[in-house]
Amino acid sequence: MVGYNLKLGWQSLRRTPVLSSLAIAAIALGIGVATTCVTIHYLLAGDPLPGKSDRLFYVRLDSWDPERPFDSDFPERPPNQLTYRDALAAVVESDIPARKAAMFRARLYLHPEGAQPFSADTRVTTRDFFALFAVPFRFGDAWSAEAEARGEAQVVLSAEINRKLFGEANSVGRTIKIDQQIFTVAGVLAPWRPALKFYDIHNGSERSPEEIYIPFALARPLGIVNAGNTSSWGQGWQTVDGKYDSEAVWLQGWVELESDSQKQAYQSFLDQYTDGQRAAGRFQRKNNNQLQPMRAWHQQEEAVPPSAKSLMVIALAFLGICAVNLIGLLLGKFLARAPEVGVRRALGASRAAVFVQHLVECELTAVGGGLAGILLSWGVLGVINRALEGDVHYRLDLPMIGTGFGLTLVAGLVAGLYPAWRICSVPPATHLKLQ
Amino acid sequence: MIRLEHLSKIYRAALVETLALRDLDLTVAAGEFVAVMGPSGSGKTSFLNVVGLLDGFDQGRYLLDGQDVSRLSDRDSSRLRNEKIGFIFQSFNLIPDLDVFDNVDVPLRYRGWGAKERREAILGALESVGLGARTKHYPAQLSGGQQQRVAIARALAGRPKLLLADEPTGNLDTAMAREILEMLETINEQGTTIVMVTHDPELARRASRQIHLLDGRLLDVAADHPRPLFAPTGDAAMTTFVS
Amino acid sequence: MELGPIFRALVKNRTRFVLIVLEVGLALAVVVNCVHQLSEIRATVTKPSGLADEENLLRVLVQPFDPELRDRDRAESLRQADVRRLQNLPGVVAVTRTSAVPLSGSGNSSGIRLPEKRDADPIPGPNFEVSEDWLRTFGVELVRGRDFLPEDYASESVAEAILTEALARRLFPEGDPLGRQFVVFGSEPVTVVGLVAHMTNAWPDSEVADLAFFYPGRPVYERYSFYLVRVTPGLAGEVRQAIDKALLAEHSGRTVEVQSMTEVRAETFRQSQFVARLLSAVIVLLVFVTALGIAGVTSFSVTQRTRQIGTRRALGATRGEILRYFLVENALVTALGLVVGIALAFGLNDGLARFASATRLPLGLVFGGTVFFAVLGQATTLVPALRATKVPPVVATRAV
Repeated sequence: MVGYNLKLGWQSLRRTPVLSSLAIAAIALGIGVATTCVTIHYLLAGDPLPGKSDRLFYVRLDSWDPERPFDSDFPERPPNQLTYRDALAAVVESDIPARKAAMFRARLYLHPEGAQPFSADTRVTTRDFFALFAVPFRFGDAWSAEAEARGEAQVVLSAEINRKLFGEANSVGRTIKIDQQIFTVAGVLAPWRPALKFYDIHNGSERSPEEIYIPFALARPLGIVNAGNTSSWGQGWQTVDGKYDSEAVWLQGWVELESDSQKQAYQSFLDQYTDGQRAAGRFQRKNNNQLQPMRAWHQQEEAVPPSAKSLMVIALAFLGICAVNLIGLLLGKFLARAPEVGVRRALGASRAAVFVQHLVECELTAVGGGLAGILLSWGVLGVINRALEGDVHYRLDLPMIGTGFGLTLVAGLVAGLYPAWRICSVPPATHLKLQ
Repeated sequence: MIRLEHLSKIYRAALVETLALRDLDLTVAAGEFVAVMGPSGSGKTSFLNVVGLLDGFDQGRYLLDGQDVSRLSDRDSSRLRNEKIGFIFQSFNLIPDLDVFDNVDVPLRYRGWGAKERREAILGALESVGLGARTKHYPAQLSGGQQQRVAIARALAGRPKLLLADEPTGNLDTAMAREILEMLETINEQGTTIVMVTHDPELARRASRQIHLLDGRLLDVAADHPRPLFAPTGDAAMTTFVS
Repeated sequence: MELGPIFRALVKNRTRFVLIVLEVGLALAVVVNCVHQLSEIRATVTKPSGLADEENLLRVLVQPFDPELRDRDRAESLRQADVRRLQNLPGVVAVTRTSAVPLSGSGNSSGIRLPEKRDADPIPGPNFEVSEDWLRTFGVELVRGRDFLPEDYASESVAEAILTEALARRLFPEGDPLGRQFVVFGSEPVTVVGLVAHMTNAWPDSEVADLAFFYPGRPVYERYSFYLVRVTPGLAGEVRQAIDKALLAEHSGRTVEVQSMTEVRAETFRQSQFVARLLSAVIVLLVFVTALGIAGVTSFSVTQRTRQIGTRRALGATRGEILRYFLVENALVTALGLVVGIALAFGLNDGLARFASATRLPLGLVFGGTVFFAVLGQATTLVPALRATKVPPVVATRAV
């Protein structure tokens, strides 16, 4: 029966090519726009690390001014970044988390052999960064734990910077001068461009990931400071040493905690740490050390541009309008065929059979339009990516193609129900008589 | 009332020209009840369309109620139809989305009468066809005979001088057909000229005069001298069969 | 003319009209909200910065990589030499050093307090440390008070400041701000010596975009420095080339990047512009689809009613009256759709306000959208309605 219904549906589509094309175009446009916008929203607001993000926590300690809170609008919130001392002692030097990363963004000079030096976007971080955020490697790997412990000058390059410096070659083991220091390449990343810079939303959340990654242990010895937001309530943060020793907050801390007990253990470690610091004269506010899961953190800080949300609402409304259009088109098409249906009914087709037959035809139309729409969305995203100057921001992946297809089936069903019901209510007799 | 002089109408298809009406001469006096007969394809509908100003013609002259209507604009012929002619169709042509009252109201709206005047005319017309109590019914809720009576009310409400009926009983059973015919006779007796197209000789005999159309040509038969002037030839039978 | 029967016929046969009502309603709601967002984005993107003639204001970013230049005194003398070189370039009107660049998205901000209210929450104080000739280079308008004195720029401490009027109003809601003092950087009180009319600070899309103060000095940072260069209109292209050569000739151990303020603005608003373009595309498509939908449904309803139209013609309706019938019918349906749409528009706005921090819909926009869709409805009905007028009256006598 399904095969027969599909065949009838296909014949009907071919018999009314103009109306069918219009119907398919309507649904294609709706699905195209909806899939595009949903994809953009999903990449910006969706889970950047599915299955993992709920184990990743952003670390904040309330080291702020005893006189007033960090954010007077939200006095219960600790500062949004860490001081260097606390990032080192409470994040890097704790053995409790499964993985941990203290980090900041900087701009350093690359001195390629025989070419003009240029400044490169740099992330100064611990080796866990790559495993913590599931960063894909093309060659090599993160620098080893031993290298990190010994403070070796090793570097991980992004795919783009590796292409720029070494062509497409595997550059692991080669050297490059950064500022005044010679670094050995430990690894090269595969192309990696999350739409949201989820691991550092306070210093340009729409930026690409950095071009080079160097060990955190080298930061202070090389006198590297951040290129990004620094907030301070004390004095003396304007110089390099001042930045490292003052109460200025300018680093991000992330930990991976695999269980509740691990989380509790780490939380009490933090509280003990700040208690200890308080005894030494720092942390004069009451303990307010927070471990916030990644997505909750993003949400609190409104990392997703509100326009992305409204884009999604608007896209779904757009699909609604296209579905209403489809209802009109299908209704016209089906009712024009009432005489034929009268014959079928007279020949013994039940109401249900007629209903199903037409619903199948609607779904067939929708699927045709949906496929075209997904293709359209793919093209539109390509155009958008090109407009955004080479950054591969928005890509259709399997879940999004699935979502587009799901929307298609729902739209086909919703749009098809009424016309199919109308046509199956055609009484068998009337239209026979008029023949 | 109606005067046709050497009137011809040609249908042009891509390559073929068909003479639908050939050199028609006819006079219908005011107050007559004329039945137009003929087999399918003989030009009955073309005749009705031309006389009812629904369609133009190619040669000759047509005087309606003394006015030459040969070269009227669409607008003027619409006005003339609205004021002088009432139509009754074989398939009633009631508007399914409107109730009985609003259906009868349709031509009056185009007449531009005031609300009160229209209301009186509508209720009067419906009363005269015996449907005064059904103003709120929709066509689908009425029998065929009732629908045709609504159509008659609609035709009469504007008090036309000429009533054109196109197979008015074609879709009705005998009892209903008789009822409708009696109604038409009454209307005729009250002074309205009626031209009725039919292929039913039984019906035609009730008219004061019968006209036969064959291949677009006229054969006039006076009702009071029922002579079988018209005898179908082999060709005519063939035409009937083919169409 | 025949509103009553048209309306009653509509009520009797609702399906196709419900579709138009839904479609017009949804479309109005979405379009009005999209346009509202678009205009908000436009307002932010095109808001005047207070800088005169952005096209002819160049921002020069110099980043030293030679370790020699880390020495503070060496860096300072080089910067002074740079400024002299830039001033001597043909086509250059004025040059200044600044700690940050307006509209650029990165700059400095420090909390400000009044000396008598040291415990109060600080007012955000986005600031610019500027050197000689800054007023002329920025091209902002000094409306009250005076510019900094030549000796102020060499002083180590910050004693005087010039505020934007917006910041002055915020800091000193009452009385004349000139001569008043405030505390910033935890230092000695700073005296207000002048006011500039308006200037956008480094964060143009923030809520505090028009708060800023300027203080005199010699901005020097280890890893970068900014020069602003005002050029004679029409010469920006040549000056840009010359800047690069002049600065590298002074010292080659660094990189030089030149952008006009127009480009700085474009880069800052890239994401907004992207969303704006996406919204515009959605609006255009939506209007197009809605128009097609109305035309489609009306066209179908004309086809369905061919016989009825013929009958009306036979009963005396002129072509004009048939046309009017469909236009009036559409007007009724569209009006209903627009009522639904206005309600939906406010509903959607409310939702967007809650989840995506949208602002209230201006009534004028809703009104404009309503008029637009009313006209669109009539215009798109015109095609099928004109087809309806071509239905000949003889249709009425055709056998079914």
